[in-house]
Amino acid sequence: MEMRGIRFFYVLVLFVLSVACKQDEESAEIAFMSGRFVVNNGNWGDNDADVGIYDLQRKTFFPDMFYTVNSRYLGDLAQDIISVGDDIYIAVSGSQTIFVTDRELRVKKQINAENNGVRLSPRCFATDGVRVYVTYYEGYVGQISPEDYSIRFAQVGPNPDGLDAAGGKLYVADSGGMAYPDYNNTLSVISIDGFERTDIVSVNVNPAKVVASSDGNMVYVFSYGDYAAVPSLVQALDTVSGKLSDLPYESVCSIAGGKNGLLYILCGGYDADWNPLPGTVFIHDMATNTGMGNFVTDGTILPNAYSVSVTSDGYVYVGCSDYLTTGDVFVFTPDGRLYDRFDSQGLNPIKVY
Amino acid sequence: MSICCVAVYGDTLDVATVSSYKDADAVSLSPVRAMSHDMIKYIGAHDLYEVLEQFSGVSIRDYGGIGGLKTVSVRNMGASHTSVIYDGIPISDAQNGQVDISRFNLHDVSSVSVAFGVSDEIFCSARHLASAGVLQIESAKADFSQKPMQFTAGMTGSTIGAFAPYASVRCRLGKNWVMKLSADGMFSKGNYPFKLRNGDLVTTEKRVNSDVASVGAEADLCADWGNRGMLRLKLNCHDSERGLPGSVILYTQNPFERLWDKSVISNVMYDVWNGGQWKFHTDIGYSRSFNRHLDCDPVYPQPLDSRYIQNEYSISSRIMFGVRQKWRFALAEDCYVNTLDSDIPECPFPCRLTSVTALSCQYSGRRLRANAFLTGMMMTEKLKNANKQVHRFNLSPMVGLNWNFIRDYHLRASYKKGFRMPTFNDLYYSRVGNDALKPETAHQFNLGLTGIEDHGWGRISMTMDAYCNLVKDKIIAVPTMFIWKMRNVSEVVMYGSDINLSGTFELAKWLRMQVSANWSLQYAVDVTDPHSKSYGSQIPYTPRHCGSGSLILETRWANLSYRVSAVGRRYTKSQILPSTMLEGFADHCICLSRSFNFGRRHVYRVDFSLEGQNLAGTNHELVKGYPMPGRSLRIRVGFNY
Repeated sequence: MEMRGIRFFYVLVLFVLSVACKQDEESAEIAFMSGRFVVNNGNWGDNDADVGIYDLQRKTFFPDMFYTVNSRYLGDLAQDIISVGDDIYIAVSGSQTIFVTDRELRVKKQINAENNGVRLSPRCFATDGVRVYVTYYEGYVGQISPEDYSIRFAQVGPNPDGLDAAGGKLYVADSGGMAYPDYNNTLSVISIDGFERTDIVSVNVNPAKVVASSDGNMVYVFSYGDYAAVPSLVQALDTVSGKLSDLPYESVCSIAGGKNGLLYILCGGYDADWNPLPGTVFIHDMATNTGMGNFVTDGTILPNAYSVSVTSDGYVYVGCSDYLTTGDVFVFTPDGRLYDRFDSQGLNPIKVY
Repeated sequence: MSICCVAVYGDTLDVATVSSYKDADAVSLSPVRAMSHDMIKYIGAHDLYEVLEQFSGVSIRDYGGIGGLKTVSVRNMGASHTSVIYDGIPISDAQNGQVDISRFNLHDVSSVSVAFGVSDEIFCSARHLASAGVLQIESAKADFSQKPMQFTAGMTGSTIGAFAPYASVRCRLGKNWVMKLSADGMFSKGNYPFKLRNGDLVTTEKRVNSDVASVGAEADLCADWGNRGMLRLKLNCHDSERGLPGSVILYTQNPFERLWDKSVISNVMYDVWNGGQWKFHTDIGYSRSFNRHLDCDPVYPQPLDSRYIQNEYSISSRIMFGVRQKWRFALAEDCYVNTLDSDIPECPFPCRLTSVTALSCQYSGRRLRANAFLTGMMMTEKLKNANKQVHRFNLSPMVGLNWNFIRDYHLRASYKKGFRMPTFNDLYYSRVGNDALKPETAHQFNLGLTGIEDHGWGRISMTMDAYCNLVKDKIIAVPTMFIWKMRNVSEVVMYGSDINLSGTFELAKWLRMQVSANWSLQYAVDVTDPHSKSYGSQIPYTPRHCGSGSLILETRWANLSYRVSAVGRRYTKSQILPSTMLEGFADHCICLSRSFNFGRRHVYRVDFSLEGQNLAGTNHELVKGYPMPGRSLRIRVGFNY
């Protein structure tokens, strides 16, 4: 009798386990359809970048989905993710490669770009709805053909980082981030038609991210400064008048633009002992160039805030990282209330898409 | 420590109890791992790290392959807590705080030892007393009993494409003087194959940009005037160029970095002991090192080409009173000046004056020995372009006891407050440096039991130590908003145990067997911030278990040896995750060696050895992304006159 009881217990355990596994698989499938992609940048040289899926409805996170689906690693330093049509593009800068996958992260194509015999490191993406544009840290912007994934290059300034497309133009932040101590301070403007640089605009030192308003009349540039005397800054460029103005936000760490016409500005900073201060997210109306105050309305504290992303539904994700342990992602509803919080299970959650 | 003195000063005081190098550990106040020239030869070691792998409690970081940077740390306290002494001369690096041991090879070495904790010898230089570990390398002494001149030359070649020739000559000059000249080199393309695992995908790749060419030369002049003292002059030069392969990156292999190192070490030392109560030593030294680092990565608008020049001027003296007494006292004073010049932006051209004073006392009774030290370090730093002066001070007490409670069994206990001063890079490296750093301190407690059983059929020696270390104000790079800053934030607690067993057995008239087995257990956890995800996790690159073993069969015809070093699972980051795990490995080697004597009165000798290295063929990693070479064969031929 006793034996039987034990056997029954085992069978029960096995059954529960198998059901649990199945449920896991099913939920992952559903998550692919409705989920958000969470990119963990990883640590330099460790090949530990990955993309996980966050199911917003059920508040569940599925980590390492790229590895789970493809049985191989994403590589070193995933920098950005974007989708056009049915394709997902993932820029893996340390591994000098772009993965093109379907919506379930199955690899369709791997793009290893070379120009003039130099292997190129992809950084950031932008799209005009048809094609994907990518900055290569070696000084180029690439236009990726959606048919055969071939690349057309345009030369820009040194170490281009963030870029955005609007009004038939690409705005590219030429950071010169590797040119310490003489960082670069220009924004390259590229006409999408001819795909070449048509204009160069001077901005603050070490520009890193660009967000353009939907009509392309206003372009917001976030720059790191020189990490010393020149502070980090967000600047607004009126592309019609050509006027450049500094926005009054201090200790800015990152920016992100929403489909709702709002610019989300993440500010951080540190105290005299180099301890990082909690992050603050401000919102700024892009069309009118006016500040709208603090985004977070429920007093949530954001320690070690590292990245800010906004998805098409207006949810805002703040990635927090101490660069040494796995990150945390804080999820906010469009009206600034904390909705959920999860461990990104990877280093440096750089983007949620 | 006593070993060093045996070799350098020919002192016979403590030697009576130290019948062999292995037994040094069994009678010391704190653990001392040592290996003699013969043993090094039998196990077929060619590079210093191959010997250090056999020492329990000593760990090596190896940045890959043949010419890669190698640093050594004791009980995982970090390489900056280890001092390196070569023939009594300190080898230091004020810029990085870590000494690259890949420059040392073993063809001309008589002994290698690593001492943890409290020094056994009170008549020693003050500057190393505060280090958690002291690695000592002693070069071979000439034996002129048979001939007035000795000559050695040889070559080592490996199937992974590494060649290392060496030559040395020793001669007696007049009645009191002895001269030694030696040179060695090491050349390799370093492009060995390795297996790259990427999930289900396994490919065979080759290491790129891993070449090395290095040459070294040394002149050594020694005079011995008996009671009137001993003088030793040494000049050592080293020059190397190597590619830095970087860690293996998936989907691309594009390393662009190269490193050039040139160094000159010179030293004059004078020792005198008139056979009475006083003993005195003094030395002056000058060393200069030049490094050039070039990075041609196309992401840089211009290639990064940085040069660093470091100078060290040192003077050191020590005096001991009571040489023949139960109670002895010593006073040691070391002064040295370090400078750093560089062409990188914002280099503040620091000039550092350090003064270390050590007052020590030793009691050696019939059954009890005890040492006590008090070391004070004062440091003054001037920055050329900042018109700023910084002072640092640290006091460090240490005490050690050894009680011979029965026969050849000893109990030992020691405490030491060690520390390391922040390096030039910690303080001033562009953007990252932080000039407000305090010294990093390490409290070390050790309790050990040692014993020797010596019988007609053989000899067994064993040591067991348990320890507790507390590292405070650990200097680490911490990310701030965009850039990393060096800060004194981390705290680590370590508990561990090292067990060593070794035995020598005379199995037959023609067969002697030497066996040794070592095992280390270490529990080293981060206790910095209870809210952090890494709180309570084993610190990076610290296996819970590691061990080594060797078996040597000496016969009349040839010697056969086997050695293994095994390292358990480690984590590369402060958080325990599947992605940060490095699997454990075992590195097996066998060596067959034989010597032939010929000529009149057997004055010529030719040594042959054949070694099978890394027999399991694993491309294990000591540092993540830096796979080691797989299976290889190494051949050595040496000629001696």
